[in-house]
Amino acid sequence: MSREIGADPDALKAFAQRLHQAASEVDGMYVNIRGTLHAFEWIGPDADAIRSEWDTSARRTLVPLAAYLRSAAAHMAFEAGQQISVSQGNGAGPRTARASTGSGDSKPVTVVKYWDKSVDLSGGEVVVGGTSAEFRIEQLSNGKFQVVETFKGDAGVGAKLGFADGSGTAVITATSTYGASSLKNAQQIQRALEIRTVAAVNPGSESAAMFFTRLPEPESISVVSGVEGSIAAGTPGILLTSSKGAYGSSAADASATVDIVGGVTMTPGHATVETVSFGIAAGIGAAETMLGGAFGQSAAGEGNLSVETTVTMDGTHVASVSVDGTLDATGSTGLDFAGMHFGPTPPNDSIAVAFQADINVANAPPEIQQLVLDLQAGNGQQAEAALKQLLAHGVQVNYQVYEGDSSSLRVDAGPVEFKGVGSTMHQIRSGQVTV
Amino acid sequence: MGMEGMDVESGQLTARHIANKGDVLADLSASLTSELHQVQWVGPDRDVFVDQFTVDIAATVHAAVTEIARIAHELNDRIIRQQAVSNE
Repeated sequence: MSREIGADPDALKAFAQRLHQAASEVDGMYVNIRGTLHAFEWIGPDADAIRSEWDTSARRTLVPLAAYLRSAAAHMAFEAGQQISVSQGNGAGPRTARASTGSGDSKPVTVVKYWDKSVDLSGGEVVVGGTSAEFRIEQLSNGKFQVVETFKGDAGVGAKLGFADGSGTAVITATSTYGASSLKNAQQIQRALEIRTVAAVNPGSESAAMFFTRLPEPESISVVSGVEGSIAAGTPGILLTSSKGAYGSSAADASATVDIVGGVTMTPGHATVETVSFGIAAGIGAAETMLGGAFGQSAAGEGNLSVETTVTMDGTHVASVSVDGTLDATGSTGLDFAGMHFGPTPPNDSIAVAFQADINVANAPPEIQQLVLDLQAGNGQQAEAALKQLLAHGVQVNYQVYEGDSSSLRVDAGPVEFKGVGSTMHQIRSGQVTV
Repeated sequence: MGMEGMDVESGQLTARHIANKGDVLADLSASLTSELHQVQWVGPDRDVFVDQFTVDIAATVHAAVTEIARIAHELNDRIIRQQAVSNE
């Protein structure tokens, strides 16, 4: 008994897209856990060790997982293309096509060997200290090569508002993948990408002449952005008057850590953008008010927050983010003495928290609008030109100013410097690593 | 400038948050495998791909989930040590 063979190419493409989305979710998970580990109050060698350990662990597990999902997605897209071409060759519509590939050689394409290069960049005040670019040449199991460019950037902002201090770090990880027919081509693409990166950071370098090196259009672009932030509020030294006219001082502290991670996948030429994942974690520290060491009020809470997000690609409204949740707090008021509590204990309180953020470029300067449009359309060359034009005029982000000229890029007047390049080769099967 | 040590309650929240990510990843793997089986695709290519994908995704996700659980476990260990120091 034989069975009809074939596939719905739309279904294959949809699943390929799903795999890309899953890869972005995995990327987002890495950033999310990293952000959570960095956001809560923990200082010391143990803290440094476990945070560093997570970066190593993620590189060993989540990064290969995301790469595998993307390679499987590429394979599914290839199968869909094959199906369509076969169908058209037979003069039949795609949905009624019969597959003739039948080679049985349909193993997912996997990475058998890869070479890493990293470019570390630093500069500004503390703004771009975590910025780096990584390039990986991957040798695939189908004999082809691909070049993966990953740009990671951190940008910190800070603010003071009344008695509250806030700080936030935006994390953007952009991964572009370029196909290459041979190792030589892959090396040429990697070299061009390196030159572009170094020249972009230091336009005065001798490499600047090659700034416009022609690069192939990337096969896929994945952007994961996250926000790591902390807010601390205190009301030290407020004088309170009791009913008996005695004076006391109040010290209340609350801290919250929030991280939001989102992923956007852009496919060049199709301008499809999806919202992939948003996660949020919040911890609310204890607050305590003491009057004269005897009359006390304490509260502790834990936040449960959920996030909903929509991203529309109408050219102006890029993203909407809404966050809502509840804060369950317990507290007591009264006299604490000798381990005993006297006074009323209020019932558990519930506080609703609502937050909404809209990113809208409709009123942004034309340069920014053009940059967003070029990024959406996957027009790499035009986006570079728009970015260069933007930097030439100086960009102000909160109180940080990004500016550049023919000799350097500066953030808050601090020069951004090119630090160095590291290179390693990984043999996946043998586990051998050569630096 | 902060003092050396950990905000234990935030640490516990973080450990739970990280451990939960392992579950999310396992769910993602199960969901992808299930969705792949539902794709309208018949033939030997499909069979080889599905078999290989099922094995590979299970192995790579298992490795990631194990690492996530280990980090959460190590964080919990440090929380317990911190609590012990605080109670001394």
